[in-house]
Amino acid sequence: MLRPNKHSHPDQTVLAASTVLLAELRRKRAVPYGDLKAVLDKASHGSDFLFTPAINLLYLLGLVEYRATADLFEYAGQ
Amino acid sequence: MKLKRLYSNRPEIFGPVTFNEGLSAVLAEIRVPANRLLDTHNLGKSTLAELIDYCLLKGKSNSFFLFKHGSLFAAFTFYLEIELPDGEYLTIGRPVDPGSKIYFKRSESSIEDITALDVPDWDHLALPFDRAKRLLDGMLAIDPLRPWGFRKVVGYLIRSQRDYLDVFQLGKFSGKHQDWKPFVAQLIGMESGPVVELYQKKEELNATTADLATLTREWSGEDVDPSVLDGLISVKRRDIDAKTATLSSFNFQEEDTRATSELIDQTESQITALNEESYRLNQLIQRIAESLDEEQVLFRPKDAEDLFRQAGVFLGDQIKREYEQLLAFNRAITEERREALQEQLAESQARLVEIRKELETLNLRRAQSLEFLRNSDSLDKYKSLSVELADLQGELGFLEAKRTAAARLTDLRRQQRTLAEEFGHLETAVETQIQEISRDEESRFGRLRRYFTEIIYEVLGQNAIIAIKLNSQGGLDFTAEFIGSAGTATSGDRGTSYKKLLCIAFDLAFLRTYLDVPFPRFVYHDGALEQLEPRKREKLIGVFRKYAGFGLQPIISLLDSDLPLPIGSGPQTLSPEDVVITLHDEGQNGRLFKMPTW
Repeated sequence: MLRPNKHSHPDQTVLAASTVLLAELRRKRAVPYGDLKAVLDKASHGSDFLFTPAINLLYLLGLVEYRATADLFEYAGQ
Repeated sequence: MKLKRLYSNRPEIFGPVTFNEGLSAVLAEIRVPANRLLDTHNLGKSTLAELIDYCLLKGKSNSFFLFKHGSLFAAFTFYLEIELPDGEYLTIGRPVDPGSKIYFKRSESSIEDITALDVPDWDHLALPFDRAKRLLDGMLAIDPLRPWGFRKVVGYLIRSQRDYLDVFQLGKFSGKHQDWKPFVAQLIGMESGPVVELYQKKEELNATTADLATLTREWSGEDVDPSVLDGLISVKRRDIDAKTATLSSFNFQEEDTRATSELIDQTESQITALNEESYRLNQLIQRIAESLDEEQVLFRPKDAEDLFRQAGVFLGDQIKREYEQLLAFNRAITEERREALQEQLAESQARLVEIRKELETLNLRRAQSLEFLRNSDSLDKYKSLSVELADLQGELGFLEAKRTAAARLTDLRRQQRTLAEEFGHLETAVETQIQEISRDEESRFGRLRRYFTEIIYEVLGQNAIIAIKLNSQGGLDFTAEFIGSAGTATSGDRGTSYKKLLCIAFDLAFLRTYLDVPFPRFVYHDGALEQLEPRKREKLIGVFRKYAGFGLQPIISLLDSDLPLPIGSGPQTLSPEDVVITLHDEGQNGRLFKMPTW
């Protein structure tokens, strides 16, 4: 899933999407779910289907935490 | 969630205050005899409560003392350490300048003085205010308050003097009932959903009633009965149809005129066809231009790699190489496509120029044909008939506008009826809920009522009850009042001291009902013992101790003259361990802020 093939549009890959999300999280530290999703859609129109895999990747890498009560993502990296 | 410690970066002026697990007292001693007769002593009992509120992310206001006297406090940063529901600790740092930036540090054990930490050790540095508030909501995870945030309940946890006027309505809840009553309903154990809906529906119903009144006033005296209007419209339409028929049956048989009409028909259809083609080409050109613009790839493997490295994750070389190959592949496709698109663009633009020329010629021909028609006699008659028809159509337009207004009026009446009906259903639902929770002794409300009654009885030896009811306007009324010997409500709650006692009892009682879930455990009562008789003060201290035993953290502020007996003289009064800070009036060292008063 991480590796692209010749049918992938470079902007619509998990790594590209998670790069966009990571940049936003590092900038704002805590971002509500809806806002983060909107950022991805704005960066590359129509790639919101990548949101879940991209945020999963960041979580696996230990870069993000989810706060359910407030429905927001908290940056957990360096 | 309990309070642990409040301190500042200027300990020589504002020293640390460490709260007890159970009962904590903020004691102010009046040592100068001349000051005993004063009402206010400016030592800082209430200010301490305000500082806790400030550290728990109270909104910024210029009338707040830290900002009002900005030059005195600009260099201060205040820190509040709290214990989180999961046993971890959280230090909240909030500077005065700017008061909108918040610092967070979570730790497994308590941190005595965070100012000793280096800057990068904070979990979150200088977070904007709103985001910090939301994040704190997430960390506190107080689910029973949802959909409201923890700030909404802070007013009940920190009762200042002006919050003792009403048990349920705090000083800051001066706006619409809709803004606070549903919250209070949820706090005391109702489901807030139907209550919120009830207030929304009430608002909608009022708005519709007002609209209806305005519209009725505007059309007063006019006949706006829809069925009468429909009749009038039908008569007008029949007139128009008759005139149109006359116009269309007009005699246009003369040979030359007919030839001209044919010419017009042909010309018109040609013009239409050309216009359509021109529109299609313009669309195509626009789409091609968009496609040519779009073909840019934003993803840069190098930038992504840098960003991930800064976040502490290293991307493998192979992944990076594969992405670079993909970019090269895309670039190749894009170039191929660009050439084809540009070719198509050039062709379309050339055809558009041709079409424009043809259209010019055809339009000229049409204008000439019309000129010829205008010169014939028959057209004058045609013209006058057309004017009559236009008048009739104008009248019909007016009638139809009136019909629309009438329809709106009918709609509004229907809407009002539906809303009133839905409002009625919601009233029933809320009333049923009140009945259910009120009857069930083990519901949150049932327990709250029992604890509340117990506290009042323990202190005063009188009975008091809490009740919820729907008033005649369909709003909720919460009442807390004393019961006389005859079993009816008395006016005992009107005195300030007893009102304060009702507030304290309510706060302790509702916090006790939440002991089984993560919820704030602390409660600050400013001047808790004031104006009570000595015997009742003893009893109230007993209640505070009992609730501290349940796991709550009552914090009270008081003057030494409020104490029933000197400190440490027995279980009926405070012990020296209860006092977390002692303030006095002998010079500025006795004040909360060791500086001249402001």
